[in-house]
Amino acid sequence: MSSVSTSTIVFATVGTVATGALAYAVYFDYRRRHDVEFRKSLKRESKRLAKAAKVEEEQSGLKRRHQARRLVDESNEEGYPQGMEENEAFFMAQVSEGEQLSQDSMLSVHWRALQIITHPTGTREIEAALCFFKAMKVYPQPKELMGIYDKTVPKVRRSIIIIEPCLPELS
Amino acid sequence: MFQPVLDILAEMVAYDRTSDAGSATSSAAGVE
Repeated sequence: MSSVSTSTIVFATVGTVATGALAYAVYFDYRRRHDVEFRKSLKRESKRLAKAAKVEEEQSGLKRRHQARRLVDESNEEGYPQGMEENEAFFMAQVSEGEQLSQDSMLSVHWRALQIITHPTGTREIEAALCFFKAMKVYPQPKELMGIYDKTVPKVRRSIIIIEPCLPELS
Repeated sequence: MFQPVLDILAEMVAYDRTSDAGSATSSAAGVE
């Protein structure tokens, strides 16, 4: 009796799975093109998912808002330094920490987009914002500081890239 | 800074102003 090698079994399994997937893709596409009910159900499912995502986003925003408000209350209850030198040191420390957390949050957004990050959405952003808030509370001109903060946000420029067609010159 | 952080900060500042105004009104009215 001849024994079947492991590689043959692997190839056969992969081939069967790939054929099955391809067959399902063809069947799915056929139904999508020819079955009106199927098309409608796909559309309904898509709408349902979009609605669920919107609700989740709203709930997450609400939760974040409550958390931000609670942190403001806690920070105000803790109080802020009074002396000029203490204020200056506190301000520098908070801005520095805020910048670090802000950079971390920016990185985590990129990682989150790749589904790699594990910590909850927006945690670093809130912590960073709290640091900047605390710094603002001891700054003599808070409105001006808000303007400075605003200027440090990198603005996304939408530029249109025009690619000229490389047509052969007619002589 | 990063735009989402600035948005949260703006929200914090707005809330702080309203709570400040609230406590100032309460103090003026003699409310604890």
